[in-house]
Amino acid sequence: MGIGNSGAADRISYYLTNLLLYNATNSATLEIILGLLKLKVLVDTNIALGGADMQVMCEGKLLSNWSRHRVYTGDVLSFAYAQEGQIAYLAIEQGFSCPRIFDSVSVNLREGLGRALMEGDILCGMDSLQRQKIQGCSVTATLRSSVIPHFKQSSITLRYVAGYQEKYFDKQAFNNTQFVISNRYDKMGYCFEGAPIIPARMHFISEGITYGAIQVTHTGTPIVLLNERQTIGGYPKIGTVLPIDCYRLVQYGAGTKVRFQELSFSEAYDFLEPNSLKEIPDFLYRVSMAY
Amino acid sequence: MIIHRAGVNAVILYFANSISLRTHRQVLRCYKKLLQIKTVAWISIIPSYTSILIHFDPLYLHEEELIDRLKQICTDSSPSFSEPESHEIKLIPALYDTQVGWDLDRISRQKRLTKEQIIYFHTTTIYHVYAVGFLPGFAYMARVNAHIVLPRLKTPRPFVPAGSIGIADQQTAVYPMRSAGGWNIIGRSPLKFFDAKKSGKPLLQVGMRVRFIAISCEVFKQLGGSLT
Repeated sequence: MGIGNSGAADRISYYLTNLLLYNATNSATLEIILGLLKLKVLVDTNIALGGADMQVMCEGKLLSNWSRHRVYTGDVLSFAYAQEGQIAYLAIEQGFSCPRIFDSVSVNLREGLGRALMEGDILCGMDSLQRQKIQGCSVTATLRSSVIPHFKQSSITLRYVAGYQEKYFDKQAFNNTQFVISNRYDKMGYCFEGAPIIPARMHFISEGITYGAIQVTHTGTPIVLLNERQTIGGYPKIGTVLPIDCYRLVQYGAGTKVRFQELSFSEAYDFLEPNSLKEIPDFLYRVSMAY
Repeated sequence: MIIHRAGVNAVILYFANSISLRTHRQVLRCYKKLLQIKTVAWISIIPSYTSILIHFDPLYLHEEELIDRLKQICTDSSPSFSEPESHEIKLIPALYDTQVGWDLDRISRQKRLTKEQIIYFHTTTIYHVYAVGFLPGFAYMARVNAHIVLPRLKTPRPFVPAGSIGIADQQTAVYPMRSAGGWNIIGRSPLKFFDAKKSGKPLLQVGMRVRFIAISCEVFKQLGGSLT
């Protein structure tokens, strides 16, 4: 139908934030980009904060990131500009209750599916929120440090597996080039500046595009395509960045140095992140391993 | 058919190197068979002109197993799967006017055709929907009459209105929603091609046959079309 995947840009932070409240790992959370947000609590509840650190203040107290907290009716939460990373997640017990479009609560601004929040919006939790308190959830708790992802490097490495169009590229040159994230980036894709990578062939018949595909434009600019990418396209692709590295990429902005590192398929499988997470200890193991 | 890896949890099937209706029928046949398999392992299946991209969840399905199954499915040409082709032709009312067809005058000069000739060439072809993508409900249709084949704009417009009818290379399409766009705009349809609120299927789907019908400005307005 041509509808993009959409969903949380940094899925690891999103999962971890939900896990702090024992929520199902696909519960709806707020995705907060760059910060500067004020929220008023209308009902006592438990919240969890994760992702970019936005120094969230609640009634004069700093709420620690990667933690769950109890908040009370009338409290005002204020998010500062992101200090480390760019995208934060705020989860509430059992998740937000949201309208579904095509059986999804995700928003895709480019496609006009759902919309960004505006001043005055009221967000609701699930019906059972007030009555049913999950045991153990009312205690403030923080994830252990080895599990917490950090986003303060000045340069990052994106691991990728070469694709079926790799032969049209000078891959050696690509692997050796240091790129910089340009100011053209969003949840659709990230453009990189560096020595241009000109493919030997430019026009391909349009075909499906994977999450993390490294597409190269006419001008030789590599673009890594993300959640809100178009479903099909005709630019040549060098390969596909591992999902786990794409989640990290979105926490970095313009000017960050980036290198691409090629992995064989067997190496890449060790970093595979399953789409549906049934085995949480295994998942946490994978997450901590990947950072 | 060739199967390639397209990442750690995706494979792409190629049926040919060039666009043809015959190849696309193969694509569609295989696509329908894949949709019939109800499994949690599918994340997405995206058919296009000559290929199908499959995103799968490795938690439920190992790549090797998937490739084995794909080989079986796509080489099996058992008649039970081949549905009779629909003869229905979807008719799309279209207003071809310089007010909404922003590039009509330029194409007219460039191709040395009158506006009427351009309309004639665009409306006398029955198009086949090869792929849906770029935007929800954006249907790539081919082939446009050779007389009006044009490259995309060098610089895409920051926005074209919903319903705009574009041509680019051998393809034509309708923008289902207001969006940035690089195709040559020759007219506008009053129909709704995609409605997120209804959570239904888009108006045009892969495999459909489509024809455009020229309408007057009056009819365009009656059908709910907007000139702005």
